[in-house]
Amino acid sequence: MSETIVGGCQCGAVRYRLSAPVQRVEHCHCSMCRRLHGALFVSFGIARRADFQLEGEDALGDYPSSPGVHRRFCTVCGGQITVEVDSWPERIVVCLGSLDAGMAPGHDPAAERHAHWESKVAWYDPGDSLPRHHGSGD
Amino acid sequence: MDPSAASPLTGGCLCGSVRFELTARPSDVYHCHCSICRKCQGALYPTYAMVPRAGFRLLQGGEVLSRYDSTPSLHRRFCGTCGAHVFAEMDDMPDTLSICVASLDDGADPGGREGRERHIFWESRCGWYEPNDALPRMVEFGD
Repeated sequence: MSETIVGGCQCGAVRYRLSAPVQRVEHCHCSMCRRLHGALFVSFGIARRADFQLEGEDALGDYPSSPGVHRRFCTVCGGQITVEVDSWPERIVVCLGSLDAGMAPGHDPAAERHAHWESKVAWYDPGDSLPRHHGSGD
Repeated sequence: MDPSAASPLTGGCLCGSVRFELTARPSDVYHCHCSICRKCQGALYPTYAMVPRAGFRLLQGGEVLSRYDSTPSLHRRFCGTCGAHVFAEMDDMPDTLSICVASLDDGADPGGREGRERHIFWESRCGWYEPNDALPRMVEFGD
């Protein structure tokens, strides 16, 4: 059985659907993600681009946080939606805070971890038992 | 050390267009699990500090700050270039700002956390991830 996962920004200008669960989840503590999202870590789902459908592309801004890395956000409400990586054309990185209430990324729990743990702020630790990787951990 | 006029904290958005200075100790530091913060920022629980408006100075970038009213009285200000959320203004608290703590440079501790740091709107948290720190978990904002 395949359950559709839906999400979007707060104002509703951008909506998306995933026709399959994400393949893995990374909670990223790098300084760029923290600053961009105003959060101490940012949770991403890595999915197949073929499983991802978006509506509202016109409202999406594109900020290249590094060459070839596109941070796509709603220009109306500022909701961060995806990260598109030029060298990763078959994947899409979904900002999981944008999932609709009640939705879950549907991943295998073994495929969830912290990334860039070494860049974490010194004054807060989420205290969970997930693996803590340096860098992206690959 | 808490921020002060003598030792301010600085911060800004990711692209560097927006920069600010903080010279006052926050009254509250909170990790917000409400669905609006999640969707506006694309993170599971954005972290804010409440600071006196007099202790916050925008150094540059006022012209690129976008505004989104997530309720009629709550104005979220984000960089129109990179989309980074920087602070929020509340009509019913004109002397106070909520700043996005994660926009402080070098992951700085905003100060003022002792006894005042908490999770808020805990009941609205996403259903598939939960932090396991020792902070209080408030149903709403808490006192």
